[in-house]
Amino acid sequence: MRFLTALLALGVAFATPAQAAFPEKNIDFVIPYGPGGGFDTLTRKMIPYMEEYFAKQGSKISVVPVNMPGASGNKAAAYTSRSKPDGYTIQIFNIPGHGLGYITDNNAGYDITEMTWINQVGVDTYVVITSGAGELKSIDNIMNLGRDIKVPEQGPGSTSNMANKIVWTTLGKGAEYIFGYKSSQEYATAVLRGDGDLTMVVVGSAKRYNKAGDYNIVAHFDAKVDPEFTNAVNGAALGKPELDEVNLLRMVAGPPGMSPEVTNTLHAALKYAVEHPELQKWAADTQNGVVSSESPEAAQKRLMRALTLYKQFADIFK
Amino acid sequence: MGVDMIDAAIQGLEGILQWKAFGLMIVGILISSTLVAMPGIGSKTAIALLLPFAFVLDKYEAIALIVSVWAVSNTANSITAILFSVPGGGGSQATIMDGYPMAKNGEAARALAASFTSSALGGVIGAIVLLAAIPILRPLVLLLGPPEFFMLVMMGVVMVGALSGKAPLKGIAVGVFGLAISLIGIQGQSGEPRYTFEYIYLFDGIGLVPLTIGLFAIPELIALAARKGTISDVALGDIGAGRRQGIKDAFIHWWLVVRSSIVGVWVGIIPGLGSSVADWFAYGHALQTCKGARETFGKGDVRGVIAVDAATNAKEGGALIPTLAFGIPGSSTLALIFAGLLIVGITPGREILTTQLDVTFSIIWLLIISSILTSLLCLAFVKQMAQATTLRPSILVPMVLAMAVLGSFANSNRLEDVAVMIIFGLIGLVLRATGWPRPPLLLGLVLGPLAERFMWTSYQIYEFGFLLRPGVLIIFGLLVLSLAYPMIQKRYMAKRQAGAL
Repeated sequence: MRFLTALLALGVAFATPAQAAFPEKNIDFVIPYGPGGGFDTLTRKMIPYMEEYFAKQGSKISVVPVNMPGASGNKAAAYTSRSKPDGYTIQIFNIPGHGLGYITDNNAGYDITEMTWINQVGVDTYVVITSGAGELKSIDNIMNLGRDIKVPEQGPGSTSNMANKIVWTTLGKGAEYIFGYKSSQEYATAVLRGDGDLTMVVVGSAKRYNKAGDYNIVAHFDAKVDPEFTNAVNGAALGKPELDEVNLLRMVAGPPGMSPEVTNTLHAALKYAVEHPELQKWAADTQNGVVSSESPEAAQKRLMRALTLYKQFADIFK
Repeated sequence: MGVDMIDAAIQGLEGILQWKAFGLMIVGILISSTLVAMPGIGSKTAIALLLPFAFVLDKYEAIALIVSVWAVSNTANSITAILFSVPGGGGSQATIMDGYPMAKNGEAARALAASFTSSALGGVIGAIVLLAAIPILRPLVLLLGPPEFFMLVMMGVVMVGALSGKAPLKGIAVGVFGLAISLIGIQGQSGEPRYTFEYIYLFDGIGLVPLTIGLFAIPELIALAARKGTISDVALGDIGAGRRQGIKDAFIHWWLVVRSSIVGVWVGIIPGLGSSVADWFAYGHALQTCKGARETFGKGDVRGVIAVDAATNAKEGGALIPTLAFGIPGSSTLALIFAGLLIVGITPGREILTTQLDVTFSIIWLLIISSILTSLLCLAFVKQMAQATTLRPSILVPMVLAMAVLGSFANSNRLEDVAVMIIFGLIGLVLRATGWPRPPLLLGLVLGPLAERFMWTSYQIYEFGFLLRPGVLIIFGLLVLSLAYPMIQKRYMAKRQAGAL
């Protein structure tokens, strides 16, 4: 009997922490790239508001940004997917970048669809830019060019390269990619220098380039073209509305198998952060597209919609 | 310079000299010369952490805080390189070459003073070049493309011979070994992993910082522990005199300072070359052009220190050129600064060169003032720093070893980085003991991927026609000249000596 009581006491002792409210300790927020990029900046901006949210709920914990660059973000994703699904390790993901393994049926060391999706926190749409000094001032000019277009790019598998491939394949324009530029800044300069004809950048960068006046902005793939791009068209105007779904999603997930309670708590904290007026103002000032999904299920649905779209083009990514 | 430009220059200066902006610049300098000077903590991390403060600052204050952290990070990076053979950052590797031997010769104070002074001069020259370039910023950036970059990298490859001392064949062999190591990782053009054995750490290749620390610092630490002496073989003597001599050295060799600064500015303008190349280019340039350098460089020649530190600091002025001209950051650190400028409502690009010219000038003033102030601050502590070379190994070795391990680990926060440091520590030890040169290994590692990338990109744009572009041919001519120069110089000297007899 005494033994049984002891066993029961031991069971209670072990069970108690599990029943305590999440979170009880610091949360690691993994950033799959080095400090300074878009993913890093957004994550670091969200963290103080997440901490504020948890403090309001009675948990005075810290959310610790952990930069884990490497292997195009796959190093971090493999790490997160193998972490304990207790909610203390979460990560910001790049979609479609992190989905390339799934899209092309290649093993990237983790299964993107198995992760526990918590929230969508941002979206960046794509814009086609050409050199202001050149002759390609509209999509028509590009389509009527008597040869394949030359597109300076970072490398195969980069998110903008995937977007470029989908757009030009769908529009039926032959494209030759010039790889080897380190960043979007480098391949944007390459277009000015005449290394190639055009390239694609995210909307925030395009707005800055538009202001500087060195580029023509010929297309903006979004349901609604940004009013600053007066000469740009979108996919719908080109008769290909599916192109307006080609974008860069910033999403947050944890390891596979996280409990619904923990997932919902994290979702609420992220939603609070994304919708905070100060963060919204920052996003507007710095031209970052931030948006929160309604629920973890909505985030999961958004992810699958994007992956299904990209999967249709799996052959051109292989 | 038109009246508008003078007005903008005065306005920019006034903006920086406001007490709050000036105070924040001092904060930036202090962060840069303490935290950032430690191996492993780069200016990028520091700026990323400071960026949120920009929201509550006005434009001059934000510029003063953020730009000063970046502008002077190279100055203090040489401290650990000279004293302990541990590079403080990517740009201070070549400082070790002559800085550390000087410390061993009891000339730590002189080496440090020469390094800080030339760093200040380099910073000022970089800023002046930037100023002079304002009217031609835009065509300047568009002048050079991947084919020219490829040829510039080839100029670096040629330096392998010069850096090999009296054993060129050994140098080439070590350089090829470095090149082989650089092949590890994801290939940029095809996206295929090379020699990674499905091991995720290797996807990004071998880290440059842990490798350098292993190659240079670990063998020195082992040697220091084994011989039970201090770093400095001789008594330090009059540190004040050493400091004065170091400052004088930088001014005596002013022409070398100017030339190296220009090398630094050029490297800065080229996107993707980065800080780990500027120092070696400047060192190679000094080695090829200074009188008697082949005999004295690597053994504690102050000119080796001066050339490197002038170039690394001048580079920042150059790196600002594409950033300001097109709003296109020249490096990831500049992308962060760029983000800081956006927060306070400044858009780099045409605007900053026309309607907001005062902002450009405030940045130029900041480069000048912060370079000088940082050097003065560092010079004030030369005595304390130099004394570290007389510490007992039982105190020094564990301290520096901890610094080396932390610096390596900070590369990607993984234990594998420490393993890389240990492995290359052993390789460095063997190379050092058998008299094989170590710098070509680094050069192979740094230049290999750049050469491959620029060559493939050039080929994709122009096919082999890229080799016949005018810029490529001009740089090739300079390359041949730099190869032939030591021989011409030797022949000229021999002739002159014969004439004198």
